[in-house]
Amino acid sequence: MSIFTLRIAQVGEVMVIRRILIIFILFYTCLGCSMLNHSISKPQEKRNVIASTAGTHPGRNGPLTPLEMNMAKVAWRYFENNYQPNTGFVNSVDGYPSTTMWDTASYLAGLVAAYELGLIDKYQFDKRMHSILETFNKIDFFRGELPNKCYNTQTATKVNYANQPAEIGFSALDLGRLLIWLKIIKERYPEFANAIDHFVMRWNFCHILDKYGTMYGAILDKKTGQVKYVQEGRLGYEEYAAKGFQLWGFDTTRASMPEPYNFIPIYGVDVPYDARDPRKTEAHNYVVSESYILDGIELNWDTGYDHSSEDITHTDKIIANFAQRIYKVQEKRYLVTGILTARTEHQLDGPPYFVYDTIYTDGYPWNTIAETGEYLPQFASVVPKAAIGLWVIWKTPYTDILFRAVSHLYDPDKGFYEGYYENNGGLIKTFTANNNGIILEELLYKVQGKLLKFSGRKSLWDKVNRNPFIGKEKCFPLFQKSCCPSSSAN
Amino acid sequence: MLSSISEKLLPIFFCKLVAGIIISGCLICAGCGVAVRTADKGIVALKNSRLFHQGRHGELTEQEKRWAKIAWRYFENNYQPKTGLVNSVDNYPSCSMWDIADYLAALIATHQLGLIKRCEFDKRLSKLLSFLNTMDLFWGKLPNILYNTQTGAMVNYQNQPEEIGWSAVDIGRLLIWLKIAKAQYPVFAEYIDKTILRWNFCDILDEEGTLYGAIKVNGKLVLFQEGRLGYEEYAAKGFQAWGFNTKKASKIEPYETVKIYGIKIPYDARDPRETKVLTPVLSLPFILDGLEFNWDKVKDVHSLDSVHTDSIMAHIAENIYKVQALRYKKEKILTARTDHMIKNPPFFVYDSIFASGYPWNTISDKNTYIPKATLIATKAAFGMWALWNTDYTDILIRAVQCLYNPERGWYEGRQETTGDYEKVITANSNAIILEVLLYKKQGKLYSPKTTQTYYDSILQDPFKGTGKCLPKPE
Repeated sequence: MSIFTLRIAQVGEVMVIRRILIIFILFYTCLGCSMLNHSISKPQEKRNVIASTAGTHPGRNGPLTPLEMNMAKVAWRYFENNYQPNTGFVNSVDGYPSTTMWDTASYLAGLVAAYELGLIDKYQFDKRMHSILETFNKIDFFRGELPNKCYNTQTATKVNYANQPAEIGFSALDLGRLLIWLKIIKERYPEFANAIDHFVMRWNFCHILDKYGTMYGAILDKKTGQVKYVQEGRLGYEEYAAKGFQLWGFDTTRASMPEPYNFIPIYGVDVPYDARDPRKTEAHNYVVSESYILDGIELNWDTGYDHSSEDITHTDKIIANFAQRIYKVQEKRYLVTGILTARTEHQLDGPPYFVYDTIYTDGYPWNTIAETGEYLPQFASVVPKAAIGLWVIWKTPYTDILFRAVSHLYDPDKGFYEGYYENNGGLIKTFTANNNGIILEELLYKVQGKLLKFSGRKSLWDKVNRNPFIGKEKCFPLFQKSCCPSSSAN
Repeated sequence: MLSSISEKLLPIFFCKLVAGIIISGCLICAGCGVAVRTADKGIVALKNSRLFHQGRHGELTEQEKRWAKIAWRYFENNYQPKTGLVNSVDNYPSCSMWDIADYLAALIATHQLGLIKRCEFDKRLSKLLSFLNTMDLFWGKLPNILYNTQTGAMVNYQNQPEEIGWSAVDIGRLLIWLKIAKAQYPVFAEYIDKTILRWNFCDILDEEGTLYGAIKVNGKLVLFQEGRLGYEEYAAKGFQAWGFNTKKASKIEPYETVKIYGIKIPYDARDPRETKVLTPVLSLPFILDGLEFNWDKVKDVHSLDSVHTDSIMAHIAENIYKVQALRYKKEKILTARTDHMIKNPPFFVYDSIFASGYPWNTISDKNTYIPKATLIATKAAFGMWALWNTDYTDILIRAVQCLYNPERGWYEGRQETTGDYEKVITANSNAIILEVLLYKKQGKLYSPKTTQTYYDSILQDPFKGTGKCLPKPE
């Protein structure tokens, strides 16, 4: 059930208002710049060599091997088993008829990959696309503003975490990821662009972004039941989700800034983490692989405005640099301690059902915590979506070993397991849309590189956004500067 | 990182050395006139120079004497004539061995500063030693964690009669001050030795020199390794002073370092999430080590004060000072942090430089974050003022110089968040202010005599003192 704590956690049921950068952070920022040049040079040089000799994008290039193709097939099994033909949705956890917009984006990623890799034909692909687009254009939104955090996959009704009809808020991170995948699909398959644009035109952006480009989620106050809009996202996820809004023309200046951040040295690697203090905000500042991997394979660590650069250059230089550090420190941990490390947030098959299995959070390296902050080192795991992500982006002996570790971590009838425990090697016996969807898109990246492929085609959304008479009440990009959500007025 | 200490500090020593020579040279010149007196003055000046004394040094000013008197008021007010003990907190009749050490330090300092007469001192010290020589011991082995200052009975944290265990860190500090007392007042050496010879050291130290505390759980004795980086090394020096091996406790390993403003701060690597023991980085253990030992090895009683032969502790202390001064420089937040009491629950906090993953973390012993309990701790401000003669510590002392009730003693500190006084009054803060002032007058406080005493005669006698795991005679 708590697949849903997944992204909600980023909202943190607390007031999280982005603090103005203080001098001390600026100081660290400067410090960061010099370190940046220093330690990025090595990994990038290496990768550039690989890229220029072996392919057109970083990491693994080329058609899938039979083993990899089999992995893709197994991962797709999850989406066959958990498909809900009435709505076009897919369950976020095996057999549990509920989902979020994040997990739906992972499904769309899996669907595109399955089609591109030839696992399904155009007939199946189209049938699934039409079905979910129809649902997208039909579903009730939270307060009529934006897609609710959760939907019942059988009925497409708004639900709470217990899958009971209710509206509970929206998540800017979930919707940001969905916008990225809607953009990827629209650019790749013009036949669906119109329906996708209509779905996005239903959205009201007035509360999710302010005029400074800060993202907000909506939550209901536990005591009063009143809706509250709170700053959402921490370093990594925040910048990744912001790119979704960027791709649709919004300004995300503040959300896209890595500040405020600090570095923590771990095995000699300066690992960046969000400097907003979890003791004060009660939102964790976890550092995990996932957002950096997704940003890498979907967007090539480019900015949302970059429509043309080669895959071997990364126009979002800071995130590209941070991603290197995230990789390097995990490799370093293996080299020093022999512990295979591919850390990210993941599900569990028992309470508390979900952990942030981090590189660093709340003051400690390699901290594995529940949403409550409880320390649960026994649930530290090697997670396929992270291991395969590292493998596909970084072609190194270390990721060869990671690949060996997870390439057969599946049930042929159900898909990939969520992971195996770092300490005892036992399996996390649960299957999720997110894990299997991300594995599929990672495999597609090997074949195609950056998954967002701009077509240069104009669309309805572009036309609407040149029209000063449309979209004011919904704060479309043209009107973003004049919008100011009450919450950010502070 | 610690290998670089000496290189880093050497130039400073060198400068101070040169300055010392120049200053003394000048004084010699200035004193032209009667040749003999000049030479005399020269020697005095040399003795007072930076060569021998780091930080603040010299006779107390009138203001400083007033400061000392205010601090001593605490020990007058809280004296319990029946037991000879002093309350640990104003009007709260309980104390630990740490608090007794504080009182002993305060008593010696007050006498050495000339604020009490010899017979007043003699009366108080005799009474205290008599208590130590008669008090009940936890399971007959070692001093209990707490005693009631009115009845002298072993008590628990609610000040109710109960034997609850011992603290190696508290006992370690007491051992330091008993040794200092012995050196300063040889006539009491025998009675001091006797207090220690009552104790059984078999469980408090193991063969590898690890310190153990003990608590009673369901009627059983549970030993646990006690002390974390800072207090562990400091307390170990007390056991070393009496000839015990503290090899493991004296090592700073296991430690990790965290960088704050680019300064490396070592902290204990034993993970509080696993051990449930917090590992805050605090000023006080390093300040005490500086005041009492000049950051020298315990055995080193000869080196110049400008050289710190326990170079690792000296280096850590230097960084702990620097990072606090830098915090003020960069953020303009006056900082002098250590563990201290507060008026309201939870009454005690670790007001740390770094703890549980966070810089400038103020936490309860349950690891609850309590930023509003942050203070400029009076004792830390005084300690830094004495040991580092800098503009920053001038500012610190101005921030705390009025934090007292003339009738009751010095307050615990000034709140960082509001500027208000934290009006708890403790033996610890007042004792450390007296220690600091004595340090200003005398320099390094620990200066043991090599004369043989009763203790040595027992150690050397193969038939006496057996079964108590006393150290082997050298």
